Amino acid sequence: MDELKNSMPLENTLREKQTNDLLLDRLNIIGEKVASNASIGEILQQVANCAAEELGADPVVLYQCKQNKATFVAPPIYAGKLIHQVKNAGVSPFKGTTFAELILAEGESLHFEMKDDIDEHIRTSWCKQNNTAYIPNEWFHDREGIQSMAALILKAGETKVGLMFLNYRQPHKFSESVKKRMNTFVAYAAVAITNSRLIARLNDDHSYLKRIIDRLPDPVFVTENKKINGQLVWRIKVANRVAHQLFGYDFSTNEFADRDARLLLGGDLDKLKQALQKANGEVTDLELSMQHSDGHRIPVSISTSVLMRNKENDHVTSAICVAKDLATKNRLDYLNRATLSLLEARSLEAAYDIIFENLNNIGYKKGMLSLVGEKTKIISGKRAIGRNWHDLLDKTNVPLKSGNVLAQVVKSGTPRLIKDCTTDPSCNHELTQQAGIKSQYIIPLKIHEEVIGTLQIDLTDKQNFLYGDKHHLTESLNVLSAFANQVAVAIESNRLKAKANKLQRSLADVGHEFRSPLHNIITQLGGLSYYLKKKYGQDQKVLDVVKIIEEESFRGDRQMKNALYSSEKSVDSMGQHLEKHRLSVTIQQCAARFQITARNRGISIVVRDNIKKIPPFSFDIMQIEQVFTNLIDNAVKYSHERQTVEIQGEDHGRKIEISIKNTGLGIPERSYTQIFEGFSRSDVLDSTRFIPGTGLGLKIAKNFVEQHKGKIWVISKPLSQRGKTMNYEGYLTTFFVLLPKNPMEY
Amino acid sequence: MSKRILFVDDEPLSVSAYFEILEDQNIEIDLAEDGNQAINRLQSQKYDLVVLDVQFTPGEMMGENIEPRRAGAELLALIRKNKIVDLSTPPNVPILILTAVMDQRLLEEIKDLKVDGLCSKPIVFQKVVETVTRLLGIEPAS
Repeated sequence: MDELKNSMPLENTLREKQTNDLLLDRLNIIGEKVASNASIGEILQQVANCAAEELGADPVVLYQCKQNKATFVAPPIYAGKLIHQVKNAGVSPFKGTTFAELILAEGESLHFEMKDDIDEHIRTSWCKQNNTAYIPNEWFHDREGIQSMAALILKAGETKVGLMFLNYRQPHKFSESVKKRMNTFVAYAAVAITNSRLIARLNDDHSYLKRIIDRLPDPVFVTENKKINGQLVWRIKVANRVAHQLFGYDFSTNEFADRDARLLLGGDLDKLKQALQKANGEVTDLELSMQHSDGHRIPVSISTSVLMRNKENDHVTSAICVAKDLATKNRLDYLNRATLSLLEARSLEAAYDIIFENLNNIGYKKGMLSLVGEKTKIISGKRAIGRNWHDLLDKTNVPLKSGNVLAQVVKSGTPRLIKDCTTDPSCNHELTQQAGIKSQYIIPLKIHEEVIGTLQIDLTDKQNFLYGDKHHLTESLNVLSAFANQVAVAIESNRLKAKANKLQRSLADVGHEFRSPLHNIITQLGGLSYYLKKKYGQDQKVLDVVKIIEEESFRGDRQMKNALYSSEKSVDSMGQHLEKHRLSVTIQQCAARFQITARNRGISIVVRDNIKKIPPFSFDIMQIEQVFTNLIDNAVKYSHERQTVEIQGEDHGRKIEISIKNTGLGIPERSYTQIFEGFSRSDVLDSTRFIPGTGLGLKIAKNFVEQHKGKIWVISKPLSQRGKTMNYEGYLTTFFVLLPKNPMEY
Repeated sequence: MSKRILFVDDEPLSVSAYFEILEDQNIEIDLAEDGNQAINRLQSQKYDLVVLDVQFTPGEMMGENIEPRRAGAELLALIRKNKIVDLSTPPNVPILILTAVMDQRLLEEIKDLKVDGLCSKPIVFQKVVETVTRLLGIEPAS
């Protein structure tokens, strides 16, 4: 975070993109955990760890809100390092007086940039809330030396599900982009927690009902209403899967379906019914439908007639309940999996496809997605499914200021269930009537507090469901809302991705534009030196000036190339071109580019003869040239005056090892890996001079060496014990590069 | 007889530095700044060497839908495959590519069309002079 605060805007942008991608990876893992029914505790720990690592906070404290209560589940979850052990861990510390409860009661996420801000908030708000002027001195941030923090409320729709403290031990200015990243994270975390809670509850219900159902003798599912040419085999298999899930029958093979379908049905249902009635069975109707998706059959709701040789109505009712709950749980699981593909969607258009495909798969066949224009503040239809909704797409251009129902949902941020569009005053009756829409559910797409659009789901053909079992209706609408939250996160992350890509493309364009005049300068210099030599003869001074201009121009070009290479996309598109070259020639050419810079500081660059003994081997000359130019550049930059930069090479048979040694400003061991990560230069500074650089060179070097299946590392040791106390001065630093002679072998 | 080179580059500044040193060696130099000019030159003159940039304005004589970012590769293909009518320069004329292109795939494509030299920008001046004189079979200038 420190680099973020101090770095240049360009670095910020690149770093941000990079971090965003990592963040998405991590969020995906959490999503997978939810989909795989991990416990709520595991999910919370994942969320906290992810926040610590990806948002640079240390420590993170995550509170889970109690359902329907303005307090927390104890104890909170910690990630990162705590200096002091938490007192009363496991015992509820919540008495309505903690700082966390204050933030929760206030209901707003807050960012404290300095410790003073935190103290001030306690002095004013906390004292007022607790009606006291007395301030206890036992505060978490005091104890842990916290200098800045973000207190973020996790909300799923209107429900507060948690509160996360991102603590930092330095003061921080939280820029808008950092806040936005935090918000995206928090929105996703809230969805993950809500979903895992829903799943946990359904699991509990399920196991309870399963115990009841276990007492039912010989349950058999068959279908009777969807007989296709007298063949019911396909439907039977479905029914059996459901039976398997409900009753633990092992119907994993098709034999049951085939054999029993023939036995029980055989195309002659009446016979079966008679047999069952004779055996004291009972027939109860249930509703069921099936969906195909990618060739997999997913039971999304349960349909069929249930035949049971048991007359106890209670048992049958229980079975129906389990069936319905199972259906809800399946939908949720299904949508969670859908979210993963959503987050991976390559474009907004692809994301829309996934959204509607998945809604269709769980039985909602019509609807529309609209987004609020960031500048225009107009809600416009982006994608519709179902012909009547498609006709509405172009007509949906609703200013946020209007009284239209979409604008209302965006402004209020709460979902609206409209059972009858013909009577609801906020609906455009003409339009809905034309389109034949009677009932719909409108869900706001929310990222934290901001509503970015709406998802309308057509419920016209679901009148039974709308006026049927209330519990079932609420549960189903909750599932849809949870999905809408994920949709919002996916859309936002896609938008961010698109922005980052656009920015990167324009950066690449700018980079190329800068390189072109530099190339012309370098070429013209050659002409100039020829002309000068012709006119004035050999003059070392003139030649030196030309050489300096040339070296500096090469430096500019190199930095620009580093910036361009640092975008992984451009590296990918470059590909790798392996050809046999002599490494000693490449290294000598690289070293020659620093001749004057080095000489001015009395530094000599020595390329040892053992490099020349290395036989030609396959490497990508453009990449390896960049690696050694960057390494020699560093060695010269960080050398003290009148020192030697020594480059050696050794042939180890299948691999060769090159080392570049310099004496000067050292690298602390804690930075050995970090310096290769890009934009993170060693935190040790030279007290006497400014050393220029972007901190990209080593990242590029590492990237290219690894593309050759090689390794790069550094060791930096003081020449004398005195060095340790002298701000890392007088260190012998060696960069090692290990390259296989044939990268294709690895 | 003096040798003759055609430079194809939309930025004269990036090649003009070579002109004096080459002219001092009795080499005649022509410059084409786009595809049309290049084709006109190749039709009217017999060149001993073509020095080709990769990115320039193609012009309608090179054909429809030619992307400027790969015009050099397209022109190279036209010459090598003898697709230009009334060409005075033979299709197997030595060709040297000077490029700032980082796209390895495009470079591979160019190499497959048989080029006699390929220098990546920024280029050390002396290297180009050496390559040009070597391809022309004359002694390099000191």
